[in-house]
Amino acid sequence: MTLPSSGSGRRHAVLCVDDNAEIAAALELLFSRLPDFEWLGWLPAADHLVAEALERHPHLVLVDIDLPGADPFHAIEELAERDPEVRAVMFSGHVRPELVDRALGAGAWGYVSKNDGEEELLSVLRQVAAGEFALSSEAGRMHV
Amino acid sequence: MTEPRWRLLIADDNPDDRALIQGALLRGSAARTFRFVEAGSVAEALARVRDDPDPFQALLVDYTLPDGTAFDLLAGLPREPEGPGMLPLLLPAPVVVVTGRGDGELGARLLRAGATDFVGKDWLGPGSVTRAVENAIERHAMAAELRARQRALHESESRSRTIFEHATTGIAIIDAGGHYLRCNAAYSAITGLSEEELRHREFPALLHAEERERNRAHMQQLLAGAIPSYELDGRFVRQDGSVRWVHKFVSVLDMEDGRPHELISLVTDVTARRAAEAELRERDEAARLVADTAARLVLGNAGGTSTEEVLSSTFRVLCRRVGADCYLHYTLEADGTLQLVSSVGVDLAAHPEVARLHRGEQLCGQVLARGAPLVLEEPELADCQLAIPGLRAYAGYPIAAEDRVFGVLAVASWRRGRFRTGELDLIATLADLVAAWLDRARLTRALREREERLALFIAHAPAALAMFDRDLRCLAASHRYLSDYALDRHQLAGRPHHEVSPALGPAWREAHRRALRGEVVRSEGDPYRTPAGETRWVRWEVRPWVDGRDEVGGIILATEDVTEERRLTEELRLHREELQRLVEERTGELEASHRRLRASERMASLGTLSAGLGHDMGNLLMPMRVRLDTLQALDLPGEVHRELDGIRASASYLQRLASGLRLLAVDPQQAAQERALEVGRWWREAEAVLRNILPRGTLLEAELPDDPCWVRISTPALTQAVFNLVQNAGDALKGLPPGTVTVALEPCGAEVLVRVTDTGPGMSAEVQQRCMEPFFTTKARGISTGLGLALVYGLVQEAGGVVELRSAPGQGTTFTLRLPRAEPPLGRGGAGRSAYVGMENPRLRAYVAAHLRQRGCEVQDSPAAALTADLLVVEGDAPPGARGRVITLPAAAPFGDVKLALRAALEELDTPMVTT
Repeated sequence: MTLPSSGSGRRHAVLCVDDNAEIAAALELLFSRLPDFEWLGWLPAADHLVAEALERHPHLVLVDIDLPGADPFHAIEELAERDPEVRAVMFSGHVRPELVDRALGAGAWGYVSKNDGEEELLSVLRQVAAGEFALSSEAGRMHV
Repeated sequence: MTEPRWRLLIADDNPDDRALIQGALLRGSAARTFRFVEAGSVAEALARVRDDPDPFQALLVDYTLPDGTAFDLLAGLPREPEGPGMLPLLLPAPVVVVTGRGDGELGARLLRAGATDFVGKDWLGPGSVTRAVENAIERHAMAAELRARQRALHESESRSRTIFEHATTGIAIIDAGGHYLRCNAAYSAITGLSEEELRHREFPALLHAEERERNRAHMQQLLAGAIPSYELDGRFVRQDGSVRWVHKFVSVLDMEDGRPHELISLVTDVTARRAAEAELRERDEAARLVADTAARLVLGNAGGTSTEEVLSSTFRVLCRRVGADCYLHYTLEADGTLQLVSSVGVDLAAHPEVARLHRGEQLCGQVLARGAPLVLEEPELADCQLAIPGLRAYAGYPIAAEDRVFGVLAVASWRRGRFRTGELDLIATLADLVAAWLDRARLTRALREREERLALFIAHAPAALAMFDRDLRCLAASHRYLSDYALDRHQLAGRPHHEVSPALGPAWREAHRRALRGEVVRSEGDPYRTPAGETRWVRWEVRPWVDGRDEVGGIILATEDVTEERRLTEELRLHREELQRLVEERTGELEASHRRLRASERMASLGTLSAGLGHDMGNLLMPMRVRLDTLQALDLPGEVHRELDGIRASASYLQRLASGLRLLAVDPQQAAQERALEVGRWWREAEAVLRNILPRGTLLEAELPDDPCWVRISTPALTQAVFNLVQNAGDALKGLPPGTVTVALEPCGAEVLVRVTDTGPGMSAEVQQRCMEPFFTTKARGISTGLGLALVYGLVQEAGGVVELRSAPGQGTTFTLRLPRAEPPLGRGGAGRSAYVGMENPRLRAYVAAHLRQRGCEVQDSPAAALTADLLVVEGDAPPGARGRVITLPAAAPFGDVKLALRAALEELDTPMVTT
């Protein structure tokens, strides 16, 4: 699998993990047309996330939860250890308190519900890129 | 009136004369009937009188008869014997002599010879004959009566005389002046004076001086007529000086001129009787003495005196009263010899022979060998080779009781050769008494040993036992008994049970009585009030104990303090009840939860479907939106953009539908962390899915508050509750002209009312009553599980709210959920406050800071800000000089700890700040 080459340093380089190719395609389309984001590509599973991230150096990793193969929480935990500069944000249609807790415990900087829409997704990603912690509104309701 | 018939004998040898006489009689007494018997000679007449069965009223006799004269006939007639002073010549019937010679001399002679009358033949007329017979019969009857009186008098006198002469009672006749007139032989015998000698004495000179005055007083009363008689006991002093005891009865015998003229004195010699009585009294006294001994020995009233002392004193008295010379008491020793233990009336030193009495070959030894009394009196004693010189009478009685021989009791006499009547009975009785006493003493000893053993056992028993005698005096008590009832032995000794334990009620006394009658009485638990006023529970048993004579000697009381046991049992019972209650409660909860589970199953299966559907829809809608955005960014014709807008609107609706579907899938329990929702936002999420479950044409209307309104329930819970209500409303409207379902959300004080109203047919009272019950349904099975409203009820109740229903047939139905109103969860409590977050991990620091900022806090990172911050969340120690509230965390704390610290911080922000 080949990944598009990354752009300038001021843009938020995003690597995506989602088993749904349609979602991935839509995200690529979304980020590609935004000037502050750089699409690094997508992975259908978390199995090679750490290796790819260490190689590609994304700023942000957008990770689905319901994935085939490796546990995405383990993957982001390992990634956080290997490269703390990479900030993982969970992106899922399932929002339950224990999932949010588990994600934050594993090292996620944010949690975005797929139901909250693209605007919230971009908002959370921008905040995280700015060094802030963020949850989309549905995830926020399920936490604290 | 007829006269009595006369039966007459006519003695005449001349038939004409006989006819003449009969004819005269018949004529002379016409009213009278006659029966004539004729006789021709003296002999024939006498034979008739003698043999004829019927008596004759009279005999008419011719003076001259062939075989003799009337004199011969008179002499031949039977007559009663003559007596002194009696009328002579009483013939069986009156005799009238008929004579031809009427001279007076013959007539006088005939009358003297016994004839009653005589008539001359010459003047033999009807009147004269009849008159003569009548007179004769009358005279004869008078003579007979006189004669009968004379005979009776004679007989009476002779009888009295006989009694007088031969009576054993002394009888004396005294005149009013007190002179003896007559006396009988018995009187003479008593007084020792003859009748002649008595005539010279004055009554009652014979009486002892002591009784004479008393006698005189009685006699004066008698003579004055005040009393008819008197009696007295007195002594006659006889000529020779001897004294006779007499009983006197004196009475008036004859009166003259209304005054007592003669007195009669009856005297009985009672000397012998009095002596017998005295003897009897003496013997009674001896018997009483023995009885007294018996009481002292057998009945245990001997007091401090020993058996020997009691016996010796008895012997001494008997010696004096009964008349034996010595009494001897021997005991049988173990080696079979007899040992003299007591002797009264003999000086053993002076009479060494007495000591020999007890030897085996001697008298007492014989008694022992015979096992029966031995009585030897004169003359047999003289013949007995074993006799002691000079001994005249001996009696030995074995002292034995029930095959056990204790010894011999003997009496001996040197003065008298025979024992008096009754004496030996006393000795025998005394021997029996001694035996009975010794037997009793033996039994008492055995009994005491047995009781002592029992008491010893009881005193050392490991249970609470006490032994009482028949009077309920404590004989023994175990240590446990004493400690259980806080008693000491001295307190118990000899005192009745009820006195020691006055609190004992009548039931206890009855139990004691029953036990004394031989019953065993027990109770599994009785309250007992201690002297200290504490109530203890006692399990007890009262049973009789049997003494050496197989009689109930008293009772044994066994008690066990079961207060603690009862307390534990009671505690156990309470525990068991509590456990049972808990089990029931938990079972109830389990059932309720099971019901809810069953109810949520329907939601769950629906949820699983809707969750998958919602998720997939979301996944499809996101790329659709992104592509629409891309298309819209392109420079396309205006109509294309309008089409794109239409597609976007549909996508938007689908997106909300997807959200609603997902809400139905979320388990409300898991969403419980969501403590409040804003009703407007909720409606926007839920509306689409609610609208989709209503029948075609049905309107769904919403009434929403103008301002944001927060309610304390999770989004999924409210969605599912309202979903069920709307679904029911839709069902109610099925098959009817299109109606309206209204969902109204309205703040009301501390509550938020969520109303779901339909314009359906409404509910009957019965359906209203039952509609919240699980499995209750008005719909056909298969369409509904009947759990919808039960689920609503459960969800609302869990959120702390209530469900209300208002409905009436034809009026539609309104369900109202009264839910607690809530503060906005992401409150602005932090507004105006400053916070400092001092954490190494930038991500976690950002996590905390983000939440604090969300609440309006101004979060700063510079160390200088730590000194001024109102709230600090720091790793390790609080920065020196910090004045704000500090929440500390260990360095490199895991996410869970950080989350807890964050919560603490958020709570701090929710607490109103105090301005100092």
